[in-house]
Amino acid sequence: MLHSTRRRKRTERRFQKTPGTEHPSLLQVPPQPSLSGNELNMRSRARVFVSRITLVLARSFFPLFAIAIILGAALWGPWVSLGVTVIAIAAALRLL
Amino acid sequence: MIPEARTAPAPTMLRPWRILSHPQDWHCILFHFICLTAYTCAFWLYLHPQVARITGPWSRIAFVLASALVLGWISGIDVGVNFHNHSHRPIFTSQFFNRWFGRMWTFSGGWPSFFWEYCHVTIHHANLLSADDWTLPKHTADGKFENFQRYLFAHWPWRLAIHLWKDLTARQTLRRRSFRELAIFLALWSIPFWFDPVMAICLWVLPHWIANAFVMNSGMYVQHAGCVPKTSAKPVSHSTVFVSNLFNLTMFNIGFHSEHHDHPRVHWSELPELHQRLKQDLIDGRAHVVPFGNYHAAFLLAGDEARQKGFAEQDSRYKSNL
Repeated sequence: MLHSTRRRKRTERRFQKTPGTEHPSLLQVPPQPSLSGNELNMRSRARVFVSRITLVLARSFFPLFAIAIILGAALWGPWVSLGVTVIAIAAALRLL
Repeated sequence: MIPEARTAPAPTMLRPWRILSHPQDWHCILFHFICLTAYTCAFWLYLHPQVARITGPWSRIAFVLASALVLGWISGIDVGVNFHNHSHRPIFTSQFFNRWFGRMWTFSGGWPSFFWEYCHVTIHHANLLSADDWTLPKHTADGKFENFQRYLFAHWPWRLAIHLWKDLTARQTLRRRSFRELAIFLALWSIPFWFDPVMAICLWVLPHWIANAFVMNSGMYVQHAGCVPKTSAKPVSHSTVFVSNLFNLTMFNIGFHSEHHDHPRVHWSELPELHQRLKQDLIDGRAHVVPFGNYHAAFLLAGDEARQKGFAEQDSRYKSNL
């Protein structure tokens, strides 16, 4: 005899499907995905990446500036490069 | 040296497969390669004047002056600060790489690497502010440093050549190595002369003179002007500390100079942290701390007495209440 199968009560899905898809949307991830607080997400990775790039560019500031002055002569001529160099040296002597 | 630094295992023991001794050392390599790129760009534009809008002798002079000034500036940092860090803490785990990268590092600043290391580590650090430290300015009768401009123009290469000749030819082992290193240096340093001797004088020799006289020599002067040899009574008065954030960010933390002399094996990237830990000792020991960097200090010390007083002023955050 076949028992009537009890229909299981439908549990609430943790993540709601986005309309038209079978998968939960990544946009619906709750604000704190884990309780550890150590999870990696794109925002924290991007922040680390940007801070590292900033640090590298800052540490290489003077040689990059030198290349800009030298190659810049091809764009704006040697007199402008000389003027900018003199102003930069004067500024460094006053501020740095 | 701080206890943690003394007891910490060497990076090579921790990660034997690593090429670099410290993860941040690739910044040093990048800095040097950008410097070499700047020289290459200047040479190429000099040899292709129409691209650089050089139309006659005056515009050529303008190009040479602009290029030589910025090339000298960055070469002074590249050797005086960047290679300087390498001379205390070699950046590679391989001795072979350290030796050869060092040779190809300092030739763009007018130095054989072995000579620079000898001057800095064997003479300057070992004999700081004593009579044997001939890398620093001479002292006058009243115990002060000689005139700023005199030191800038007399030290490199004139005085240095005399001292190096005396020291390095005194012992046979040093003499043999010195001649070998000098030969390697001359082979590398002569490369721009093969292309165009006039270009080499304008965009190679002139920047090296600017780098040594105005960047490295002025740095040496301001770092120890008004200082006294280290004693138990004055343990932190041997160097001036420059706490400008922008200066230290762009100059591999060389401003933390007192900390560097007391702990030369601490990595340059860890000097700000070491400075914070030793801050109270600096205040209690009345170390000379200024809120600006080397360049402004040089500007102050190159001036008259009124301007020089600006250098003697203490950063307000480092004044002792004792």
